[in-house]
Amino acid sequence: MNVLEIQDLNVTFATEGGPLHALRNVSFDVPEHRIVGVVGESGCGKSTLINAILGLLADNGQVDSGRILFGDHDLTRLGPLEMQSLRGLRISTVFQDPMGALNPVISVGRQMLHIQYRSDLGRSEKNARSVKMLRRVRIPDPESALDRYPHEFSGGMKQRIAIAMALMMEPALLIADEPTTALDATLEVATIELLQDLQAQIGCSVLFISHHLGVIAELCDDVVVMYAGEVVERGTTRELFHDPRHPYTERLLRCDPAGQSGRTRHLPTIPGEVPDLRVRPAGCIFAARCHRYEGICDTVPPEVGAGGHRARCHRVTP
Amino acid sequence: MILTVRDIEVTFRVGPLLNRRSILAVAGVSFDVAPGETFALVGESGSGKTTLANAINGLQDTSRGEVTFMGQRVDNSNPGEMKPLRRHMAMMFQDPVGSLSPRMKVGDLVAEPFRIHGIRINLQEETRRLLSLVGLSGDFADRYPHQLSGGQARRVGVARAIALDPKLIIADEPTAGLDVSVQGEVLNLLNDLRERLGLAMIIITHNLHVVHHVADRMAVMYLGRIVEAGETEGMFRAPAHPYTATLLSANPEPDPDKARNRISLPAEVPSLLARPSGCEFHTRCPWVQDRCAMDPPYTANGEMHRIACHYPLAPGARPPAKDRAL
Amino acid sequence: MSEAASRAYGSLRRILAEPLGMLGVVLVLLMIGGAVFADLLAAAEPNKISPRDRFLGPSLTHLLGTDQLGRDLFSRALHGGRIALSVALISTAASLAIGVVLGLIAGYGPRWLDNLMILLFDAIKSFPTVMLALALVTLFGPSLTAVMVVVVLVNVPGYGRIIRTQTLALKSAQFVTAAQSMGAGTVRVLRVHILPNVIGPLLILASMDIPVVVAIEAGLSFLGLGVRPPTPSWGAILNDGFTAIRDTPWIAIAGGLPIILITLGFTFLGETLRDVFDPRLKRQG
Repeated sequence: MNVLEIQDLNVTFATEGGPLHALRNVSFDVPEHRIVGVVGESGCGKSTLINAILGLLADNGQVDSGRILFGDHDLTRLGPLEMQSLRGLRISTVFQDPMGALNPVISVGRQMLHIQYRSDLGRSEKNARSVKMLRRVRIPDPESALDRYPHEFSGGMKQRIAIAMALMMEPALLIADEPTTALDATLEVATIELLQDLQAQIGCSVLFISHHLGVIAELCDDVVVMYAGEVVERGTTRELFHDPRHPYTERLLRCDPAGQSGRTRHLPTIPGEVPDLRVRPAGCIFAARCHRYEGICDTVPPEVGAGGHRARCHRVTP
Repeated sequence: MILTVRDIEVTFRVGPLLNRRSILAVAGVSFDVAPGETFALVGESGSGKTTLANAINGLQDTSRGEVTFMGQRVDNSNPGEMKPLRRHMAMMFQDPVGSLSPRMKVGDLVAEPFRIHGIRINLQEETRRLLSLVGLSGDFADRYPHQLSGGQARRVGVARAIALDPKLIIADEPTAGLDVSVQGEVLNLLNDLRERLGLAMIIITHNLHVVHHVADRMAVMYLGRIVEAGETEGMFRAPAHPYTATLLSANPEPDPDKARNRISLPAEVPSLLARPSGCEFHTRCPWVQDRCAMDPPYTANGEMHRIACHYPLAPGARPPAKDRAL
Repeated sequence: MSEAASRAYGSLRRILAEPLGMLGVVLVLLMIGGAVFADLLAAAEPNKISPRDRFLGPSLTHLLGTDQLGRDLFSRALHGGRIALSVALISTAASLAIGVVLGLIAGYGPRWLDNLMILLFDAIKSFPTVMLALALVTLFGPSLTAVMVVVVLVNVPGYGRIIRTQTLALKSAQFVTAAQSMGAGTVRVLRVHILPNVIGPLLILASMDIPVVVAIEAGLSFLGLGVRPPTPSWGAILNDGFTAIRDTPWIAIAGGLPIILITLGFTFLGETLRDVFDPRLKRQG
């Protein structure tokens, strides 16, 4: 069973320089109880993807075709009110900046009460649930934490409180957008471990967006690699990191200084730049920067089949 | 030595008017940088590494200690005295785009150091030369910062830094905000320039992978103090201070099957307003002993490998089993 | 330079693309043209008294009629525009210059200087405009200079505060620190790095303030506290017409219409500028 299925999603933005094709034929699934990582560099369409799922595309953006299936709903067809009733309850989000989720002038306890407004429980029971949740994200002295305000907590604690609030209603899907990027390394790994534990306990699925290959490798079950608005490769984490098939994935992994064993004075890079999405090349999106380029890459866009470990590349398509 | 930092302290006054308290952001730091060498300052947020860089650059007053650059005292010097020395010490700031003045064109940004120091040369020609040195075509001179990608903006920052042929570059998080595929470009560029121009560099970062590749020596900071300093290779192979060991183990690597011998730290980073007694890391140290809470560890300056710890770790040491909870 | 020119051209096109912006530009140009070429456009002397022609209605020889002394109102209105616009432009420019300098000093200087400036701004602001004007006129006697001093005093605190707030925000911006680290002095930091980033919104606000200044000048002249007779001023013309508004309404119209047109012109222009260049200001209103 898949919690989320994205099928052939196309999103464009109207810009002064013409339509910008931000997502092209994006397809992947988020199965039950799994953590799916989306990895890609700036301009790959990660944020557009999240906004499309949440129904929060900017005014000049629109879904041209494709479906986003969440349970019985196609999220691309839901009205704003229906979408609102899903957000925060069945689909919740954690962002890079925890202050995006926390209101600075309302105490943590009150904010956690607000989230439970749909529940029939009494006030004290709701508070007890809040305390339990805060304890699960390892906030010291959770009872007194309820009366405190967000600024009284450190950055790492704020992010843990944001996670607690996101998971409070036990959503089916948690979307985590670079939740550890602003944290120090020691806090980053602690937060990853925490997310892993909570996901196992609650049994939700997680869509985890990051540019940090190390974090993805550690946390995720499956990985989707995006480049310039396309899914270029997807597979299990092990398949992807040990047997990268798309040339972009291959080079991206090689670029990460953490991937270098020992010390090199010259780090590998990917020469060239992400193409302008207003003038998409006719063939493969990565052709101009690819080290395995051949004639067909300029003319025919490679397609990617369903299921398993797949790469959108002429050289590897089985 | 091109730069000598001796026992410097930086104090900030914080809090409301009636309840002013002072905090020590940098608490007695000493190190040297030799010509042509790359030195890394490593630490997490709040460790005081950026404040330390500003103190060296004269952007921040110090309350104690000495900073000597090219044989001249530069701590607490007034802008007039400092100005001639600034030609030889360039700074690169964290935010690649944000450190470029938004209404100036790249050409003017690169020419700015010459204008500030009143150096009369053919600015247009020099700007082109510098841009090509950092791998940007001359066309970039007419662009504005918001028209640049992060990597390009960083290159402009590098061009500005090397413009006056400095002896020392201080780079604060040179790879922050850059994509993985671009990080390498910037680090390679800095490495090349360092070799070609014979620069010394101080790299301030929390990213240990970066340090490993570029730095000859490194110092790890915690709560405004250096807890361990030495050769990069040696410290990566056998970290002796528990905090260094923790940082190294907390470095997610892109390999799902890698065995993770992670050291978790209990408790939060203590507040600078209430520094712990004795060894300041003892509240979080997995190897803590009774003595640590009482005696501050002492390190001598000038040693090749300095460790501020009563019980330095043996290579490959694992934390005692009791304290595994976060 | 060519890029700057093409950018300016692009901005102008964006302003003209808005109907209100177009109307504003046309009105402002008409009024400025009228003031500049007043001598060519109006054959009659503005101050020439001809008792035989008193209270004539609008006609081909006197487009807007004549007043109680038989002076040609069209000519007086155009020449009044000279006074109104030069007062408005000179005093607004002076307010801008002083406001910007004080604002930069307050925002970038030491804390005590900032507090002093704020105190000064607030002290001036606490006087009602009319009171301030009356006080100054009593001190120095009615004159154009007094009017301009009033306008500058009224405008400077607002401009100063805007510049101060933005300077404070930019003071610790990384590009400012970067310039300091290269050895740039205070003057260079303010001139090259801060000023270009704070001046834009202020210019837009100032263009919207011009009609206010026109109204202040007209108001003071109406009360006899501004321009001395017989110098033509819209406010003075209004006053002349005010007493005889039932019998000879064209005198009041000759004084009032240009005030209305110039106000609409600069307001439309300013609002379009604001919408085109700085949509953020729109919500603050």
